[in-house]
Amino acid sequence: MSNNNNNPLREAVLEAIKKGKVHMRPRWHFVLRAWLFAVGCLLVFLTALYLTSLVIFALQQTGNWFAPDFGSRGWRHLFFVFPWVLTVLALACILVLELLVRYYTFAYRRPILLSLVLVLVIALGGGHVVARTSFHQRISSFSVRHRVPFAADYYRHFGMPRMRPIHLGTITGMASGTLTLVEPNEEEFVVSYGLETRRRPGMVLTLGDTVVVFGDQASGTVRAFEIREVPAGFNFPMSRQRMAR
Amino acid sequence: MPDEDIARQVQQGDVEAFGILMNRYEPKLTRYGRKFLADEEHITDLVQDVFIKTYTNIQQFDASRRFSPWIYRVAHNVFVNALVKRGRERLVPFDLDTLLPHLSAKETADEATHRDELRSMLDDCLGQISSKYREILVLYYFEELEYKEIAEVLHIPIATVGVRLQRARKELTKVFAEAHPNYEQ
Repeated sequence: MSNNNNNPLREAVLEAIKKGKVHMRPRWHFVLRAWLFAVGCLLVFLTALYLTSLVIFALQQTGNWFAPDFGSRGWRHLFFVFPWVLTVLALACILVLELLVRYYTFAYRRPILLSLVLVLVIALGGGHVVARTSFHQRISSFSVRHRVPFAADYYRHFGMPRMRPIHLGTITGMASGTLTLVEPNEEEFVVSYGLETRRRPGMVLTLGDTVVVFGDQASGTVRAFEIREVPAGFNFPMSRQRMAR
Repeated sequence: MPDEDIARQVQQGDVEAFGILMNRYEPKLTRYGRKFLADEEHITDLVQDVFIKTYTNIQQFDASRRFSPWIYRVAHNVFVNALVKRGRERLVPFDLDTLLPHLSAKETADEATHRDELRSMLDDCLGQISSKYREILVLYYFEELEYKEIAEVLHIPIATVGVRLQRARKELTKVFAEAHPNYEQ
């Protein structure tokens, strides 16, 4: 081993180490730090997943999920009712996650755009999968039943009857030119339709069908501009009464 | 003995082995710091700081990987912090040239041929090019690190190393040509 006693910098550092002024951090310190970092990443990821799925859940609960099906009018409506705050929070989590994962070799070896898109796809895809499960329905019913602060009010808010052009419900009555629908919040309302109402050609409505109606509400009756069937497999929202049970 | 084996000895508590690593890296890190910071002042203090951080965090080093990029990464952090403290650098969470994917860049024989010429140009115009480009030129032309190692030091994609080097050479040539009107590219 070569040695060089005439190197003042080397001697100063070695002396500081020998005198105990400089300490080597133990291995467990780095293992613990790596674990805490990974747990932090996981928590941010789960928060992003929760928020993303909550955005989808909120849209589905209110029927606004179907707004784009109704063309430009539907898109305009969606813009005003979109849960922007939740979306911004979800995007902020995704950005924080991207900054965190860039600490790892697999992320910084790739361009930021690529890893960001990957994080975005995983969060959106994961959020969609979570929204398809009964996860939010369960949290919703738990928080309403146990009056969990903030969460109970927030989840109950989705089932509130309000003036809106999109109505999601199950057909419980049919008469000439009118339908009686029961919404997820168990509110009953009447839909009037006519020749001007847009429908899929050949669409046959029967009792028990779940439909989404786009139309203005006046004196308890919704005048339908368009009626659409709810696609099979759609996670039909739970009523407030069922939530509380 | 390879650096990695010596680092393993240090991890097992051999303080003298750390002296060998210091002997090997002090001239390299001093040159890297002096050229990257374009500054003679306090460079010994900064290099001492690099060695103290290296010793403190040596258990973090994975001895199955190469030691050289790891210690250069420690030095990079110390030098960038020094630039930020002096107000000559802004901390940015990411660089624009790491944003988009680039075609994979490979080292060419042409780059090696012009190594000496670029070294002398770099020595001449050191303080006149941005620190981002200055650092990558120093790592490649003076420290002779490979693209992969530079990518490890700077935490950027390998393809970005090629692109940034290309831009750095362009800037260097432009600055040099401005300073030497008789220079022919």
